[in-house]
Amino acid sequence: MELKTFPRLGESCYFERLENGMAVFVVPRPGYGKTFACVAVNCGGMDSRLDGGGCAPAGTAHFLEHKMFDRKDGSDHQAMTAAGASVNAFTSGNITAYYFSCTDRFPEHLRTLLRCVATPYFTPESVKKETGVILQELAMVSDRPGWRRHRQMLQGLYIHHPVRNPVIGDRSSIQKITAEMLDDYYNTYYYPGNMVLCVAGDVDPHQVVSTARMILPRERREPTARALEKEPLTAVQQETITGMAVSAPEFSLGLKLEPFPNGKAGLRCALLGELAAELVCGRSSPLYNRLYREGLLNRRFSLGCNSVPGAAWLTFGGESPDPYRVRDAILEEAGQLALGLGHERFQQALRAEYGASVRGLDRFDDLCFSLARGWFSDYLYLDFGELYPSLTIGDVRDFLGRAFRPERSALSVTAAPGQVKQAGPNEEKDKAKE
Amino acid sequence: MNTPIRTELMPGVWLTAVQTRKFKTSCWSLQLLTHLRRETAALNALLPRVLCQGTAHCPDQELLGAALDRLYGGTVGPTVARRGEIHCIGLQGAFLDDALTPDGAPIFPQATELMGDLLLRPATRNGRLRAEYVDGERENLLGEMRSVQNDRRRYAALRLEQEMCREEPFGAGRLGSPEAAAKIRVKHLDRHYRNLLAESRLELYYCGSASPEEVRQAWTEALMGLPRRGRPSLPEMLVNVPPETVREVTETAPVRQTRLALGFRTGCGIDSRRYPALLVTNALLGVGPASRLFTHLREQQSLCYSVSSGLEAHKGLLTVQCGVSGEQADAAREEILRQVEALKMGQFTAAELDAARRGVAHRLRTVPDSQAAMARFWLDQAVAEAPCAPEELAQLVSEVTAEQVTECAGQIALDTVYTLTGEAEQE
Repeated sequence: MELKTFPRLGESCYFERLENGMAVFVVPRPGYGKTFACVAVNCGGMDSRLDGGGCAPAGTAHFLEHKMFDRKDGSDHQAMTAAGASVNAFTSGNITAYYFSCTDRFPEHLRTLLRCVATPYFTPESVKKETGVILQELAMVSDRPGWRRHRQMLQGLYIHHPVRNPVIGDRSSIQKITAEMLDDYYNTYYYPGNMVLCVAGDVDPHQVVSTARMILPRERREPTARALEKEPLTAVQQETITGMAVSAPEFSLGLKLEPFPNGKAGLRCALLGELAAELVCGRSSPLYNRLYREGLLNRRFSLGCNSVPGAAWLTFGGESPDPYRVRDAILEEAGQLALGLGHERFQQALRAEYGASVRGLDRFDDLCFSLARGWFSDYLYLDFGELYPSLTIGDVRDFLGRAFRPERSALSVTAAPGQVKQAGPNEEKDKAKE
Repeated sequence: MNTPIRTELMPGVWLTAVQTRKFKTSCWSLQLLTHLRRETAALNALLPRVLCQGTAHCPDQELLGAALDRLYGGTVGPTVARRGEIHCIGLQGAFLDDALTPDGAPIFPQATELMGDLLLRPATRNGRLRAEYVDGERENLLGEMRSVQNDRRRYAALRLEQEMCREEPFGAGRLGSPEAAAKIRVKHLDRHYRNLLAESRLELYYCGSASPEEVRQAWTEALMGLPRRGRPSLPEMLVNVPPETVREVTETAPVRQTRLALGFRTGCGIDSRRYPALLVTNALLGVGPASRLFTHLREQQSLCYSVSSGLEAHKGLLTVQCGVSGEQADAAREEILRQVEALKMGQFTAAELDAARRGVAHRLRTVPDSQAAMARFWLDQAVAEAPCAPEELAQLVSEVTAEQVTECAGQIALDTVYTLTGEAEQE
């Protein structure tokens, strides 16, 4: 077992690659009562390929996540909860994760979690029952403007890439999913070589590794690389609007980036993207504060840099009476910073990003999910500490000049009828005259 | 981690300090505790937002933001919460702990000073809070009040509480009413601010690597000049009994999913000896996947995706909420009430009781592992008569018996049912 230390971060991390290909990370946290563990599988909403040909309906990864805790005599989810653990799971575009936190009986909970991902149990009856639950989940998220605009934005950005499809699927695809399809999907993606176990807490790393070794299948199988169609860098649709009874218009602005490479360079891209977005419109930026004063943005504003294999994008989202003006202002500000970003601001923002990332390590769940994402993209998340100092002002200027272009942007708005004035072609012309 | 040290810095100003090296973040909180009243709730809610706009030193957001960036991306923000009829308004700060700054420069002294400045030395003009900040933040507050309709779960919870507590100060809501907020001008808020400073109890909190002595000194300096008019008292909690008849309120909105919210009164507050039993009863009913509501409504009958219960511990309110399709709302409601009745009759297994006790004890035992959870927990305890540590409460919870749960459930009475339903079932 390998021990890596990150003295600047006050952090260390044990790593082991099991004979069956599964990776195990353990971050020791002495003094904590809570232990967190997650098993992440390298598949999610974007993955529909099935071994032996064929294609799973949209939403299969998420449906499987709902049923994975089932077993012949009940549910591991309920059993673990009954034994005092707090258990949950999520499916993202490229990852499905099962996790728990507990304050006692950690070895027992870990064994249950590992056995659960290694032992599928689906019946036609239980699948049929779950369809109703998932349709209610879909109804719930469909009533959320944040979910709707984010989904619209991704569809505006991507033409081929499957990240444009909602992870949960849609009404008809969800109803198509059967127990056999869940079996096929499980067999395609759920094997140790396609999984990672991440643990944070006051635990014995050797015990974690030996538990994983004992419970999971021994057979080693190498992961299949995803086949993705080439995606252009321009957005499909720069503006979309969805009618919804919201109190004020909401927007998600996406900017398409070149897909991140694997390895440390990919992590560096993510840090750079986040830093650039902060400089353009973060809380301490002149632009955010101007828009805030003008009433065009409020506190419910967020930004971030996201990536899945084959796709990466920046998001700016929030509430605004005029999302089109916010978009224009963001693009314009980035253009100016690409030419004139000063050293002092750059250093200050870099310092702030570094501090926020270090503080983020206090959250066991985020830390473990970041380690898992890193493993699947071939980098060690904790290397961020040494990568920040390598970011230069030139990197940021370059990035701003390349990424913040109208043709790479997709703005999706949710608004009630009459709440926003869409910038029509005439208005564009008027602006050009000025 | 050391036990929290609680001291009174000056009349009505209490400090809870936790010294620990286990976090990379240090956490500051400063809370003014005042009466929740319909007339002043919106003023209370607006104040911390205005204070966060700038200090005398850093009079606008950009300068304040730059100062925070230099302190390794520290954050400060306004908070507004209720503990029953107590309105807690204040500021929360999070900074990189001194142990982890790459250049070894301490953040602690500057961070404490900044928190003090935000409270006592705001950006002013002609000796008053700045009108443009009051006006701007008032509009933002109104926007936030309106935005609750975007989140149907929160909206249903708010409407339930407004209907259920319409005759109690608690019904004023966390943020007050839009009508009251719309009338606020700088002169009102400035006067209110000065009164609050002089008359409210102040609860300070720090958790990080600094020693309690350093913290005490730093806060004392940062709060130099805080006016004090005697020792403030806290309002009485109203832990009411329910009315004779159940109140029914149904509203429509353009939604796909019906939200069903049921409000119960338990007659048991955080100070009651029955409180540990109430925590277990609530968990047994509707917290997590082992709960009765989850098992029966979701797992057995597939009626919904989300169903859960929650407590307003200080007032003894228990609420249940679920999202369900319109045609199954009645079935869901009946099943929820059936589960409450089952608890009253003692119809639960030893295994279910054990799961509920373990779940609550687990959540309490993880409190010391989260800065935010600790700040909330100690504020709860600060307003309770007999404060106790998470571990002590966890111990009491693990000793709760089936009889105590039945006794506690026996006191639970339905008060109000709120339903938010679609105008027409939409695809």
